Amino acid sequence: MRKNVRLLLLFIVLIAGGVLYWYYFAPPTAFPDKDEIRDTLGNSNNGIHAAEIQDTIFLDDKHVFIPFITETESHGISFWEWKKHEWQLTSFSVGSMPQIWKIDSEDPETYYVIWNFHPENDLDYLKFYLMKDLGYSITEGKHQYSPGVQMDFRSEVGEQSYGYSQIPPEWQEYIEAEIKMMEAMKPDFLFADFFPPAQYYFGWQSTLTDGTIEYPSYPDNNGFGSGGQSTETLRFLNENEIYLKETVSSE
Amino acid sequence: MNAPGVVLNLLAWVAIFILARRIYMKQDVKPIIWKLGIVIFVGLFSFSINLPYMDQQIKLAILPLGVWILYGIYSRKNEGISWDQYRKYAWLGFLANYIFLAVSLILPLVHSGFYPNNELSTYLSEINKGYINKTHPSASDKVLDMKSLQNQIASIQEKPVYSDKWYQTAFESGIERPKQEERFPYQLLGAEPKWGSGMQAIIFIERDGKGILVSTGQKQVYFRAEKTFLKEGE
Repeated sequence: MRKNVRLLLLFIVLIAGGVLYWYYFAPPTAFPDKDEIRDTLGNSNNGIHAAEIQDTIFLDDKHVFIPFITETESHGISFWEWKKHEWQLTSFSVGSMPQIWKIDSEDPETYYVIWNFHPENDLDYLKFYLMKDLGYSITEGKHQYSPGVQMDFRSEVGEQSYGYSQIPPEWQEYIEAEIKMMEAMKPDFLFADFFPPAQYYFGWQSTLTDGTIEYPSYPDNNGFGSGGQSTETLRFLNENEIYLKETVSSE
Repeated sequence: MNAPGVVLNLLAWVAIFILARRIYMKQDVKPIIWKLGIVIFVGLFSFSINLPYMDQQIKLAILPLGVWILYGIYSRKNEGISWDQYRKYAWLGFLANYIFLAVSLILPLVHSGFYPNNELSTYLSEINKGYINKTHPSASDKVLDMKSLQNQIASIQEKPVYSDKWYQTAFESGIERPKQEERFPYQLLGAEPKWGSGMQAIIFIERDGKGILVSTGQKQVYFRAEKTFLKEGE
């Protein structure tokens, strides 16, 4: 009798191990074809009627960026992730709404900004910003000064309407320091408390071929999106929202 | 790694282990050891309140939630005999909250003994690989003058943080918010804090190259050097 129990236990452990492996460690299967992608985007949860799937870009072997065009000519981006033995749609946005994808939120090396704009907008280049507003606080005589942060990088808009870029090393280093500081603030492992949200945010600007900074609004459909914790929609920054060095010579 | 924290927490667990052993030795009917471990652990759960203490939060346990849960489970088993066996371990778990409270009361004192908050060497002990990044476009293209920093580092003094004044000066440099020049437009990177301090800080450098603003999660410290330690880049 005891022997039987042991065998049963062994059996259960093996099954559990197998399921665990299958769910979390098994290598990804082939990525779904365009029809399947279109079906997922078009299901009742998402409601996107994609006319064209433009590309399938593997950011790594488990994370895929798919730009698409809807039946109403809106350009969109979607992020797919190999999770629980399934290719899942993590996040998407339609319209001129670039997003940042934090594939592993603990590791800023895996942060990507991703965009897709209708070519009619005549974009020359994009600028992406890491911002933190200047601020200060005095609580019980304790001073806290929080320096303003503004870092940027530029991405050319080429032949393709879509593109992506890893965030630059300076951003990575700043974010890493923020993450480490936050972690050191967390109380002991047993009593993990709330986690204050980061104070920095991401923004963008687009410059047209005629040199003006303008929001790429063509086609004039509503932008919308959905996503989890790992994605963030970048904030469009007007010219008066950023610091511009006045003495700088134009490039 | 916060070395004093690791050591003190280890001592706390050793104390809990010793107390558990004493209870065990005195018992005639021995409980099952792995269950006893879980009972102590569950006994730790409590309703507690947070109190501020030396720039951080400490937890004062008030209601022994874990003990109540365990009582609920064990009192019905074997007509209360199980509860007799495990009761003391459950309460030991609750008591452990106060052992950890003691740790969190002592720790800041010990820590600041080894790693004084107001000394630059606590945050910058290994600077040979240090460099700066521009974090604000109002900064000019300067690089770290390692020689100057190394010559001065022992003599750089702590100065008070005048957050409100600095904030207002920024406003004087530009009426519109985004036109303001940033007082601390560089981030210092690649420098290591003192070993075992577990210090994780964001370090900003003042635009004149003389000030160092260190922000840890708990507090902010400002240091001021006599001479600039930034120089023109190539």
